[in-house]
Amino acid sequence: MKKFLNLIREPILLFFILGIVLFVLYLLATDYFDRRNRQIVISQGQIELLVETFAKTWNRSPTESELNAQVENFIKDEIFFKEAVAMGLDKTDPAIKRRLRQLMELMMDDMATVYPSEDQLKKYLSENPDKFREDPAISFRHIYFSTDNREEATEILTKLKTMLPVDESKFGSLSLIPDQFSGESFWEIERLFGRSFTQKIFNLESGVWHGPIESAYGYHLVFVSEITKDYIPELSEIWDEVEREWALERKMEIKEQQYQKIKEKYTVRIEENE
Amino acid sequence: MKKLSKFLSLSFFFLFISLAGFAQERQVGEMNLTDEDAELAFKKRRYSPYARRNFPTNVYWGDTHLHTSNSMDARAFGVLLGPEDAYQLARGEEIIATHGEPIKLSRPLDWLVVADHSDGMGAMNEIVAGNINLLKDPTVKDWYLRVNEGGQTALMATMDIINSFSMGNIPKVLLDEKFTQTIWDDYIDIAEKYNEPGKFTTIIGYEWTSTEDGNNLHRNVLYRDGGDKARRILPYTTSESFNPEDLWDWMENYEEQTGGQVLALAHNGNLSNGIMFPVETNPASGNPLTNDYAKRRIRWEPMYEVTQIKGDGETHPYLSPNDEFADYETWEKGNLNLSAPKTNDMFQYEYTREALKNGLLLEEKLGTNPYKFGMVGSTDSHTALATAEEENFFGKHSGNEPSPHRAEGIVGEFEGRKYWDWELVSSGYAAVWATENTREAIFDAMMRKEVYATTGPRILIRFFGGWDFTAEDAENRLPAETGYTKGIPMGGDLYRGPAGKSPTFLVGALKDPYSGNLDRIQIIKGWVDNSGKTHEKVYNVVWGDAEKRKLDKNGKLPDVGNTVNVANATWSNSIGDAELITVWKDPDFDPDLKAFYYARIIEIPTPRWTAYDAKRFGVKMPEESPMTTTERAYTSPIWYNP
Repeated sequence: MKKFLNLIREPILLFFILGIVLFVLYLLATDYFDRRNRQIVISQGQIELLVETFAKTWNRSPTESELNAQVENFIKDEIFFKEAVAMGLDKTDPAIKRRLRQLMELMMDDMATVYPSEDQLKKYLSENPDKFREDPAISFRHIYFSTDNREEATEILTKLKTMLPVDESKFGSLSLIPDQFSGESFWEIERLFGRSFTQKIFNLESGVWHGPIESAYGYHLVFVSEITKDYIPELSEIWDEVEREWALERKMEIKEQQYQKIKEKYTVRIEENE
Repeated sequence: MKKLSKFLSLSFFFLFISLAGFAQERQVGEMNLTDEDAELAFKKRRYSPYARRNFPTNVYWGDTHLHTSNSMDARAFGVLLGPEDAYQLARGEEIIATHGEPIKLSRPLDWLVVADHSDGMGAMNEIVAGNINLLKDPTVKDWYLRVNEGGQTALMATMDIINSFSMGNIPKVLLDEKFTQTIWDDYIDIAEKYNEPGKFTTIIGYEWTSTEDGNNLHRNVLYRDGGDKARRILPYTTSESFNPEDLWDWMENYEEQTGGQVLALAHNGNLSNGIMFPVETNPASGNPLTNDYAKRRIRWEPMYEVTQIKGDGETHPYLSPNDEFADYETWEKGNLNLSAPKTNDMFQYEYTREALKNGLLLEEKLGTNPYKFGMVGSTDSHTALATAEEENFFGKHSGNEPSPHRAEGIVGEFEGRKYWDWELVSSGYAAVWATENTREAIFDAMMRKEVYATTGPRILIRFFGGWDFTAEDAENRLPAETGYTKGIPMGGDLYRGPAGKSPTFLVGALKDPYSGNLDRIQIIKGWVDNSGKTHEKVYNVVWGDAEKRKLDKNGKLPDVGNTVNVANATWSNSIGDAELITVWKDPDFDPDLKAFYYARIIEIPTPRWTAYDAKRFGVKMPEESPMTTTERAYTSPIWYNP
């Protein structure tokens, strides 16, 4: 008995026994967790979610065979998912990291939705007028000459300027664009004629003939009847646009703040080359 | 359920962070628009003076196929930009691309379909949206207050939140259905915000990405409707089926359930390995094609995306050996993931011209032409950037946004078959002749096929068919008025005409002011003869430098020439014409045979995107890479139905 007690007091043996006990426990535990991990449990809640997703796609409940197919598919997903995680595939694939980051960002997006006050929008509009500026507009008519008819264009211009009678319809015209425009905005003219032509005619004095002005198509004699200046609309006219732009900027800020808050939890160390 | 809890807890964490910011903002009531305001706002929009006419006077440019970070694959390739950024760029604003490069389009687009892959878009239905009403729940309020205190208290509160979620003690208020939100909901919210009728239209849509065994049967689904209807039903995914007929079921069901309207358009038949346009058997079942299939296909798929970043799909040199312009940006090595190689017998089921021809054949056989579609181009960019211009090309995905050696990368590779990045095509856009720039008007124009495709340039095209067009109609200053009065526009039908007459076509094209002059307009005719054989013929109908270039006895034209300076990536518009217009009469018409006609417009050679890259980065392109391109446009056909 004494011998036994002595043995127990022997720390090495004690550690040894404890070790065996722990090892057995460990084996039992891993086995338990392993078996648990190899169970695919489909709760009623999960089935409800499958039914709900189906219902949202079809606006009706799935039939029994449709639901079975959904469940089978779910089981397949789960099994492959578990196997892949066991192999560590989730840790190496950049696509998975990015998908998870995307989900995080989408959540942050939802959370970062903000609503402005009128004062905030007024301030934003006055600080960013160019974002909301309405294009200038122009009314004009033009006579078109192809690229090899520049001289003819100059001749006709002289006649027009000296008020000699000119039959405009006699000269070439582009068939697919009008020869008169009324109250068209800068960008509408720009997309038809190109930028440099548009810039030139928006700077013309109205009420006289000008030219020949080159466009992507050839030469034009141009008579501008009216140019209306660009302007900044009142907030009430463009409330939605201003709110959209303001909210977008605020959202970016908030998302960045959120990211910085999360980042504070981490220390980042970039290792130098040895 | 555990995953769900995790989502909830994380969302909740963010909710609190943002609530702290929220408190600083003042919530305002809904803005009330009086009738007067509304009228004023309406008047402010400047419509073209021509817009009051009852036919479409404006062509509206857009892209039916743009991916953003909401697409899983786009995200995996690194894109950080979402639908919001996509709309901003398309509207004409300057934004920063994923890799930090500022980008702006030469001109805004008029409309855009952000069409992200539907797989994975409904996956977020567990997410809790931020809502001040949540604070009415005492538990939630307690958490909120503690989190707001900051420091150790906040940390403990967060732990509490996570614990209660993992224990399943979720405050009931959070499980309320109205707090759930999907990516689809998010996307629709953004589309609604950016939709400005008359100015810029956001058409709601998604891509159904059926790729069974690597064979591309992808389709984009476009909505005529606004968010109120579109959000009522989740997009169809391929987790349910790879069979397009099931997608049509879904579309039919959507329309029944919501009273809305949708259409689908497929793309990249060239990567389908012979199953995009079946003729004999239905690839899904192995059974013979039926009239029901044909009817449903053309009911739901009135358009096809004929040209895009992964190859041009008009025709293939194997199918059109006599067409000198047939081999344009051809992708012919295999299916989408290159897992199976291409064989010659597949081409006839992959390209549009052949499908249009086979459609006539099937109409005789089954009673319905399943391939009576209009044609558009689109980008299929996965960068959130709808770029199709050679000098402003931002690549297929964010991995090949502009950088010195991007052309040398590999798009895809399988068992030795591969596509290089220099093979990517800077293409295309969709042009729509609509009465106004709204979702409804654009959708309706698509349904009636009054649309055309370009490989990027915004060439203005009119194409009308009728029995009485005369040469003078091409000299008229208002060809559209003549066109609609005396005939029908692209996408339309001609029926048996007066005895002894042949159909006439009024066709005109105006160059893109930012791109090359026009080389020529061709009309492509396809028909079925009495023995049930299909034929095609390409006619040169009007061309640039006509004083110097004459047709030979076979109807061929001398080359327009080439002014491209590859080293400087420049060209000169000293060849070709700015505008081409003519009336053409079919010289080989047989009133008893079914036929279709479409116009193809060819530009003079201009630098390809690879030339701009070489010049701007000072790099050498791979030897095999083409450095010039001849951009083009394809109109929707006009069908003759005896």
